[in-house]
Amino acid sequence: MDPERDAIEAGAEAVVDGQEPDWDGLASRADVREQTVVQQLRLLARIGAVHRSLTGFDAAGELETSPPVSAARPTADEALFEWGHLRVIEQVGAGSFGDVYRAWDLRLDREVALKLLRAGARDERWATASREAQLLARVRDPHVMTIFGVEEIDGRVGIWSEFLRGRTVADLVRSEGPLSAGEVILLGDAMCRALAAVHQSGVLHRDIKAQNVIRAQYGRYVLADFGLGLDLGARAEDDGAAGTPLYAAPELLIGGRPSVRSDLYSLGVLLFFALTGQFPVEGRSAGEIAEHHRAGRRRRLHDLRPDVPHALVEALDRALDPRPGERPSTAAAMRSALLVALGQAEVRLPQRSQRLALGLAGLALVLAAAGYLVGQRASGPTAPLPVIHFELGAPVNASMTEGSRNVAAVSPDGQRIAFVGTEPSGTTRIFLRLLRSPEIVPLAGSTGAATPFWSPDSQQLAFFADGKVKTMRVSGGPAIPLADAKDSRGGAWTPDNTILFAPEPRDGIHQVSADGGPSRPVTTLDRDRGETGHWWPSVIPGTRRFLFWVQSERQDVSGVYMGNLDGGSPVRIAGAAGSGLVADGHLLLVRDDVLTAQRFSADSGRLSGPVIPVVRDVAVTWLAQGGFSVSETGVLVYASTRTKDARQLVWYDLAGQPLGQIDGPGFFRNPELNETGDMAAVQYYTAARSEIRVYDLTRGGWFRITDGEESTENPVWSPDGQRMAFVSQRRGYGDIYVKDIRSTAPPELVWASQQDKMPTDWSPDGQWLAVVEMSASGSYDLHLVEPRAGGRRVPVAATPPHEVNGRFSPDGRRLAYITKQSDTYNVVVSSLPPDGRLRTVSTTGGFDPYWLSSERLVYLDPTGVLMEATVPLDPDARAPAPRRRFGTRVDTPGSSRNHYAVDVRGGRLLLNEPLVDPMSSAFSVITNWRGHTVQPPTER
Amino acid sequence: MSQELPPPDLSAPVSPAAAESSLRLLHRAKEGDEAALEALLARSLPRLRRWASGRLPRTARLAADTEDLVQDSIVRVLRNLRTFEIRGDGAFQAYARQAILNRIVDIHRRTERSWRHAEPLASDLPAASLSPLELAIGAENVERYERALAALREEDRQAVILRLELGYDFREIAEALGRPSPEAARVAVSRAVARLSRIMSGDDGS
Repeated sequence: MDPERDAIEAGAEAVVDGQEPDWDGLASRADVREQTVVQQLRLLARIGAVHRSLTGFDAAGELETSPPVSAARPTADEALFEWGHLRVIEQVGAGSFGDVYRAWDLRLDREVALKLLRAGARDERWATASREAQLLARVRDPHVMTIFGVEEIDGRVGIWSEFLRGRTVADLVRSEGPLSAGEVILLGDAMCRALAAVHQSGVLHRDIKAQNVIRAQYGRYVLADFGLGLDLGARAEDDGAAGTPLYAAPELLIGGRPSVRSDLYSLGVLLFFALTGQFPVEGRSAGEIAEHHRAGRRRRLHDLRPDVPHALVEALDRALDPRPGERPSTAAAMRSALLVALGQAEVRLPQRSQRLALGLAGLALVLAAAGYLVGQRASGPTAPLPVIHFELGAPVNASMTEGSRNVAAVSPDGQRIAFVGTEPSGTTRIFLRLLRSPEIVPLAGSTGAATPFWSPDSQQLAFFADGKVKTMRVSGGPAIPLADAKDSRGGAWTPDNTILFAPEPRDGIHQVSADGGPSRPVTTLDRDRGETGHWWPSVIPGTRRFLFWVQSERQDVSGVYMGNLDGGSPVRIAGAAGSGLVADGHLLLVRDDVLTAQRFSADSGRLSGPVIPVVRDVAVTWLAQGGFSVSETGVLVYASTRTKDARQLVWYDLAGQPLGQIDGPGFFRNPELNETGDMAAVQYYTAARSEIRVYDLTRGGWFRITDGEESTENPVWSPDGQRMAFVSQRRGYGDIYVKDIRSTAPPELVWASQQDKMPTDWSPDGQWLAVVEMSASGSYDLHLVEPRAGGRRVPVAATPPHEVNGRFSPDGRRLAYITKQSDTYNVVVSSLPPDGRLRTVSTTGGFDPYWLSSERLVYLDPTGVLMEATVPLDPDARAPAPRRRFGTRVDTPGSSRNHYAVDVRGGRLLLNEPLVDPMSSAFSVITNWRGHTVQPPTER
Repeated sequence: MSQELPPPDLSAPVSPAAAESSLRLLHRAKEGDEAALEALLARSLPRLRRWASGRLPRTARLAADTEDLVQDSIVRVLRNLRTFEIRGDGAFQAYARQAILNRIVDIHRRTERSWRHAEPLASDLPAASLSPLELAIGAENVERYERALAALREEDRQAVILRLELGYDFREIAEALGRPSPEAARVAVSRAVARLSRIMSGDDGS
């Protein structure tokens, strides 16, 4: 064969296959005239490479736009070629050092991904690569692509692994824009776990980038491609669009050795990119990037995404530190730093909130606010103030003292939060948390303290202990007793160093100088008006006035009052369930469990303007203290009413034997297992909202299915586990949506109306959803609804009593549901379509039916006992009395849709149990209440 | 009770189940089938958008919305379908690509003009007016490539564009070019690339 022709043919094939052959070798085989052709081929290869970097047909991303591929054993005709025991079906990607194919493992009869390394196996680097691949083949982690094997066949080294369907993070960000903070934390969590497993196997990844992370089925993030020590040297020479130098730690660009810490740097870049679509250091070549590093020119995450949780910014700043020694030393350490942010709820500034913030700014109420926030760096004057909502957390080895008298106090500068905790010995003391760090430390010398409050300069705390009101410097020092206070009802520290306090329940407010001296009353009880106590004083900023709570036997007298240190009669401001505070010219008050803000003038004592709901589920203690505290900088700390609602998910067998807890405690509701029993979906409450999360029961770990700003509730799996129906409030009412969980496409709106609705089950043939809708008359009715937009809807049970919680029998021919019969809710069964006859299954009340077979179901009786009933197919056959299975710890069976889910095949059930001990973390924090607002609740 | 049902979402990607060959879609679209038009658009847009991102100068990418530009061009192409002889998906893609490229050249000229009228602000002005592809391989080389591409036979041109620029795999190319198998498509593309390289080197192989 003509060797020249051969060179051009070989070059053209390399171009077409996206390979990088030995161009110089090819050119040397050609004559002078052909050498220029080889040069042009080389240029074409680069044109192809540039386009590939744009079209991104790396890994599996491409599959999404390709026609569907069947996962069946291919015939020899369908194969491109065979490599050992692998039948290669199609090419799915190409990288600089190999091609990736979809292939079929003929031995194990399964689909695999095959990466064939380019160039010969004799190369020392390939030997290293295959050694490392062998080590990695031992890694088993849900977030690491499983490598099945590595072999050299016909002189080519190939690595085969699990075949993942999904999209790369690069593709996701490119097509859908930056990810939310919550999603990035989940991504970071997954990748830290993946890296920890990889590092443990003795291998560095060396090629972490958005193209190498796949968001696979169910939203599982998987680290896919390993650099195997091959790429960095090779790619750094590339001057063009090569991506890897963007991810390289600065020390690698100047010849340093890869390390765990350089992998963590790359992970930091990946997360930075996922949040912003940009890179901390960008340049057109490795040299330019290295130059930017040298000059310290880097983008700051905080400037690009001022809305993300502070803890996330901090964790990424550390991972991206140019000095390797300042980065976390292990992936586990980086993960802990990220998980601090996980407790901090979704952090988006909804449009409505932005308007509110601007509105307030227009009223000149946030003059002091610019640049105030925790660790905030200088950003533009127009940057919206971040709104961060998170759980405070509990101290190590102590719990928060039961809520009746314990309201956390945030310091006026917004930097510290003080609250009372109980140690295992029963000793109570004050604990402090710095807002900028998750650490919680006890305040020495505060034993027995209650009801802390801050000095105006945030340097001292006052509290009540041993029958006295005392003060103490937070930096340390003795507690100084000031005055008697036998059974206090709160205090406040004025800017002119006076302490206002309520020494006893049946007394007025007193004052004492913080420097010591005699105490004297400021307010006196008006016994004629039935007043029994003046409690919970608070200073109105910038005035000599203060608010306090008046407890009275008369409802019309009790309420929030304003007093004056310079004398004068107190003025009643508002009736309420508990005390209020004034901040930023607004009176903050809990009304119907919602913390509200309304403009307030201390001069006139008048409220004006709309009542703005700030946050839901804020407690009022039984001593009428509003369960919240605000700093001058806008930090709000509050006690949630929901802590008693925490649950844990525990497996039981049908005899009542516990098999193990899968997660908790947390605010879970409505668990639903998929058909195969390996995924549990729940309604998961964060501080800010409810969202649907799925727990992977085989691999462990939560992931989200929806990613919107609105709350989502009531998940229901389709029988094939590929779709999920749920409720979202995005249009103001609980509407039914169906989401294809394999894709990132938005969910489909199935049923919108001006009434709240919830899905309760999906028929076994996939054709119908059982949906409860509140009727115009206020009763709940059951409908069958086709799970698609514009589908049919058929009412099945729409009588004046409620009908809820419909469950299809496994043959789809009957529906069990709950309805009220002579004052008792019972489980009934109707045939489908209904023939008007109802069989009542439970005898002494029942909730939460769940079919075990076509003729058997279980339910909970009103005391939480799991009962089993036989429901004969013959409507006239007599059914035996239901029998008791076991007593669960579900205390209020009627209050939620379902408290358990049954894995019928596995013969076990997943109970959503209340806790023996209430959740120890009782407080939530919002860093800028002025930017936070919620819809008032409709129906509670 | 009032019911609000949303209109069907036509911008959603074609569901896999509904996937049918692009050629059939083209024919249906030519007959005036709106759904086929939408499906074609949904199928072609993502790839062409990414492709266009490599051809737009950075200044233009700031000034003009890539999405609008690409969509606008394709819609025009589709509108012209009736007057256009469809020989396959390859022809369609190549035609769409050219339409987008023409639009980009238009915009490029406009932004060049506006840059010249503006104060010389940034030191990297020349770089800013280059596309990523031009930055990567040099504007002269892009020009040479485009000239040679235009000199190729129609089918070779399509093969090169589908493979090198749009990232089609061989199975897709086989379908688009009417080749019997992926391997046959691979051979066809290789030959087209070899011919292209000869034209680029000033040696058309004669």
